[in-house]
Amino acid sequence: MSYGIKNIKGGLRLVELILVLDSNEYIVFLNKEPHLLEKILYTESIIIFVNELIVREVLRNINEEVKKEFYAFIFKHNIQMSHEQLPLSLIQKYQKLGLKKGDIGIAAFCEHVKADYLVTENRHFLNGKKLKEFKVVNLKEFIDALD
Amino acid sequence: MLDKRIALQESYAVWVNPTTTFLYKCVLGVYMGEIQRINITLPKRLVEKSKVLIDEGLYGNFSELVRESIKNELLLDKELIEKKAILDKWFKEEKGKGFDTSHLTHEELIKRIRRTRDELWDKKYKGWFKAG
Repeated sequence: MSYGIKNIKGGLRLVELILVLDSNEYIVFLNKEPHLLEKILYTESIIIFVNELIVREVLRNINEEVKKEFYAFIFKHNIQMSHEQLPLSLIQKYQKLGLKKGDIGIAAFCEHVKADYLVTENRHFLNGKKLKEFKVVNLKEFIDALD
Repeated sequence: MLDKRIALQESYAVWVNPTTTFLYKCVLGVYMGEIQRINITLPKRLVEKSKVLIDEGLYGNFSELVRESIKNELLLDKELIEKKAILDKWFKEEKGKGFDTSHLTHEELIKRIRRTRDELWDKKYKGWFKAG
């Protein structure tokens, strides 16, 4: 875990954890299924990062009418948006690890923003490969660890 | 113009010099018409956390904390506008491409997202990353 004050886009802030939420977490939340996500959203010491790939995935897997909610959601919860290009070296690193093609971008993004956790319901992500840069957990596991 | 500037500086003056603070407050007294008192409603948890910052001496009082926070927020306007512009672009480009997944099972949803991810990767992102 990376504790301390970090200089994020919103200014200096006491941060305990940096998270990347996979698109499935947003989609399940927006589809109004019982969810634990709110517990994370209201924890001030957690910063959530999102990138273009995740946003577009969400937009392609929700109803057109729910898109407005997603838009408001990003602003309401001050989710940090990253649109920087990722270094090719990171992409190559995860390619060599044998990740599935789309997952390469997500893993590289997690390392780029120095995420502590990638929270995803996709249990096949990384296919059992262990990484030292960030942990891959599902939402329930993360909440349990938080408690 | 001068009175507004002094009003803005008041919170800093607390830390600089008590005499200066006194002078500023006197001037502020004359220009009280420039200051508006407002009531705000906040979640209890936020109030409790704010009290910690005041007790720790980071802010002189609650008004100062709110003033400083609003000023910081205004400084962030530029970044917010930039964030909005990017988000607007992505939303515009994805208009009409949405699909209602609320009826799908967990496995179906994960499978569908996988397909979307791979498609996006192939069409848009594969050649997008910079060397370095």
